[in-house]
Amino acid sequence: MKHISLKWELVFICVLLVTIPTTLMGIFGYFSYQTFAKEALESKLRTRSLEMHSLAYDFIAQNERVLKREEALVLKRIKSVARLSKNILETYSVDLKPQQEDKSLHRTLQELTKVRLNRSGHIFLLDENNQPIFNKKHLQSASGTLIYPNFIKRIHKAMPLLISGDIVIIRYPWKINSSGLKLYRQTALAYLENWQMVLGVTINETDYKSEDFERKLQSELKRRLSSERIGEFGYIWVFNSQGDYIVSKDNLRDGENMSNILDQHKHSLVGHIVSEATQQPSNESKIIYYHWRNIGESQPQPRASAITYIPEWDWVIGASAHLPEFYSGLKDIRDRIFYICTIFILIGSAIAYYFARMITTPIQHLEQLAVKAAGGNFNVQVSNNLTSQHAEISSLSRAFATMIQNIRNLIEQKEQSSRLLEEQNMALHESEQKLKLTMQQLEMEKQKFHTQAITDPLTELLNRRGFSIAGNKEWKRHLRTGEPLTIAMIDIDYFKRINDQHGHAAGDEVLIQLAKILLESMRASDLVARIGGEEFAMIINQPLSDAVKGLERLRKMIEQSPTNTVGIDIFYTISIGAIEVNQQHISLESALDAADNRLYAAKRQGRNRLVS
Amino acid sequence: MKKPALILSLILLAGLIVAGVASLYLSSSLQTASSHQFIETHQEPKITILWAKWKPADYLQALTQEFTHETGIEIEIVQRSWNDWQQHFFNEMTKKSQRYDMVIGDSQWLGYGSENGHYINLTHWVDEHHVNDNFIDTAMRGYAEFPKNSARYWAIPLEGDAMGFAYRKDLFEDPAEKEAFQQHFGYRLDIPTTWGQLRDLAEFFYRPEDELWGLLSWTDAHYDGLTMALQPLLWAWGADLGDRTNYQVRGTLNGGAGTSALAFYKRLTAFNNPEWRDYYLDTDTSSNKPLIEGKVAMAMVYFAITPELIDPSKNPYADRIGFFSAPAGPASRATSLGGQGISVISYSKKKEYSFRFLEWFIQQRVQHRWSELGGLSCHNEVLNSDEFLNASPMHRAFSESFGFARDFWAVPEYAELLELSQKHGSQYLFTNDISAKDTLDNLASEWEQVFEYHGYYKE
Repeated sequence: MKHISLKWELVFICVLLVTIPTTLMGIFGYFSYQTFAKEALESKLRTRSLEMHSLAYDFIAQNERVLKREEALVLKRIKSVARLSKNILETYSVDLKPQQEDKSLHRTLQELTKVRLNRSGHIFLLDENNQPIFNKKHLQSASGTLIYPNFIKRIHKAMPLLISGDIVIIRYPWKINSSGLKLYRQTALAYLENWQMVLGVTINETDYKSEDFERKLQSELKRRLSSERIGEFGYIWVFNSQGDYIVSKDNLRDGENMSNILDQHKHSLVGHIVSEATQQPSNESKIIYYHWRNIGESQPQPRASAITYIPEWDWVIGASAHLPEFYSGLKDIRDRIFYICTIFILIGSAIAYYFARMITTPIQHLEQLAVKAAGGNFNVQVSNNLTSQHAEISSLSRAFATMIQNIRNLIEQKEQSSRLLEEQNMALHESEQKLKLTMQQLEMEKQKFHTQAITDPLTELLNRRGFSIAGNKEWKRHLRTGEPLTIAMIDIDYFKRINDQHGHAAGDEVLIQLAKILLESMRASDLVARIGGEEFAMIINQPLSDAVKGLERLRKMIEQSPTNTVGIDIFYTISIGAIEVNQQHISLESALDAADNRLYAAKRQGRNRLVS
Repeated sequence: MKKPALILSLILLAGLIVAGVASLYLSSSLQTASSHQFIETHQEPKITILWAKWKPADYLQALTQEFTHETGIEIEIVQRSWNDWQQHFFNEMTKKSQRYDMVIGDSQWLGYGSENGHYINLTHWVDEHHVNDNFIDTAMRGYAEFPKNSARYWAIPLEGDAMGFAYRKDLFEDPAEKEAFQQHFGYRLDIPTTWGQLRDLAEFFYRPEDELWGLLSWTDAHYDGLTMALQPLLWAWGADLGDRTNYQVRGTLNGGAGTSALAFYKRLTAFNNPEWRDYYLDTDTSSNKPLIEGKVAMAMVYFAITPELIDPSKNPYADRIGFFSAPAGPASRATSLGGQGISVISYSKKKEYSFRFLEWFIQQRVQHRWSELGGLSCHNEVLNSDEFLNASPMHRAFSESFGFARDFWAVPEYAELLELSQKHGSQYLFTNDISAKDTLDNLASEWEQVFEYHGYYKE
């Protein structure tokens, strides 16, 4: 497996060491800021929510103050009317005391029957049996059969005070409406001493405790709330517990029931919000996260709201923020962190690259020098810059330079030794050549001596010794192969006579010519030698029958081929004894003896013949 | 370093960076990942608008077809008889019905609709769409604003209108008639500039034996016709419905001026055909009908329904119809504000379509088109254009009337007030049991009771 370069490994490690902490710091920084932003947003929403909550209670308190003031004024008024009526009627005599079904009431009483306070307030007068003298319809039937006796009981209870001349105000329920709520009346009671009758001035609470004022206050508050803004897209909303919008963004959905909006759990989203709000303790707000789509928005937008509940009005007030708006700053931070980290990583990487390069460049330089040196080029020079580098690099460079210098010295020494050795080798070689020549000469001399030892100097045929050596080889081959072998002994007839008649030189010439004819006639595999003065021996690698034919042709050719010497043809003949080697011949000598016997036989039979 | 280790490290590094960057980019949405979603039911793109049964409703239906063509949102105009449309609407609102998405209601309804939460508060919307800059002040104050001078708006002016008069030009310009009138009344027969002249003209042309009546005056007791007819006279004589700052009625309504005005109106109605007692705005019994039949010389009209009068295909006297605005009285000149604004009903689940319609409707080009179809636009550019003023013989009178138009009580309790004025006015006009003074005394007293009951007076 191939290794990456040291430089890139260093760069990679450095980038890794820069990137990981930078990225982690960026993420940590962002999440810290996000947490901070979230807490800031929630705090802001809570504050606004509680402000709205407080504002609503200011309105509620104002409404209560006004109602109490209204009530006080009304009570004062009916008390005043009761006292005035009492004072007037007590001036009348007992004779004028009205009776039940009295058609001709005193004019003053007639006017009193017509008095109306607000819508339903009126004056009544009870006789001794607690039966109204007039306005019976208003008092009795409206009160109902169950409520009226209770009303009378309260009057009886107040009687001591009434008799003492006080004006007593009692509050009693006069009607139960369709919702089961009791509707109350305030009544100022006075006692007419002259007539011993109870006079009452009564008014329905609904006549002065108008909901109109509360509605107007709510309307004013709604207007205030709808004009509130949280950021650019945040606003205040109000729902009631039925899911009806009381205040919506820009009022565009006021009055609309939003219970049909579901969340991902198929539950009413508004129902959930209302439930969360109503479970909150008073003066506390809760943060909820949800999606909401206002009119004009194509998609539901993520929002956060701080919600509070106003039980008096059944209002759930929410201070709502549009999350993308608040997190747009977060997005800027995120982008900034991303860019800063990226720049930091890039700069870190560049610095890492620079340092890695600074570290590895000398090493690369040394590596290149080492590669050259490894290739045999020791003419390398370590840059002077390297020696001025950091301690390690400087030391390494110096060591490398020293090493190269030492190698160079060693090489120089080696070259000198080589040159010396070469010179010695040359001398040695010359000596060897001379020795070799001498040895060759000696070998030639040896060969010459050996040849001379086994060769007949006159005929240059093998002498007896040479014949013995070569003949024994043929003999061994014959024994090894079993091939037929014929041995012939040849002798010049009357050779002494030739010497005597023509001289020894002529005789030698005859020997030479015969030897020449023998060599020319025999095959390469045959062996011929001069083993005595005029005696020749032949070893022929043929059966005797075949050899005889050749020997006979030889004899005849000799007979017909005189030797010319000094202008004289000297005719001569030869006798031949031949045998085929067989098992009787235990050695070459015994076979030669046998052939020699045949030669003598040929001599005895008259010469110039072949005996086998 | 070995190659697998290098690759692994690179993957680890890339993974770290990607995870870091991804987490940065996703983190803003993590906040809302667990939040509650918003799932709503798709609403059929069709809205229903309630209006009265009269000609402008037909014009509007024609206009809305163009809206439907442009947007795909259908609009149905439900027309209810003038006699019951108010009660019908109130019933629907009491039930918080989603039957109607918008309503074109009388200006007097603004208080009722706003204070009871039936109308959407359009103030923000009006500001956002610069409606105030484009629609005339009279219309914004009359058809959209509640309370007066509050700069809170609950409607967009849809149909501008005012009470005026239509007359037979051929009769008025007939030389013989002119001469006879001159001899009888001592002045020239012409368009009346005073209520007195109007009465003379009504008397002059009152010829039942010739099937011609002098004046169709509104006496309708079912909705608001009688009151709308009576108001201009009260104002013209110097009376008023009451003090609109403290809601005191007595002394303002039932003074001498008011009594005289009421008595005058009763005399004026003598020139009416008794059979036309309920003729008012309903398509079938509109104040146009006697003019179309050629049976009346003058008729009280709301200009909004008069396009029919100048349509030759619908009125044989179309080329002989002229218009004039309410004449002056001893004290001033005033007329009843007619017309309506269009409001978005709170309980509707189709408000988006309604607002799209409003956005479309307030455009100048649409207002021009509305005017072409017979509607009376309240758009500045349309209303004041020469093109508009010359487009119809009615437009100049309408434009003039808009300058002195006044409205009935526009309080939430207006319906109670209206019912009382209709009742007492009708009692006076159609019986001889009560005097004008007593009629107005009773009306003033009962109106004050209404105001008292609803908390308008403080101790």
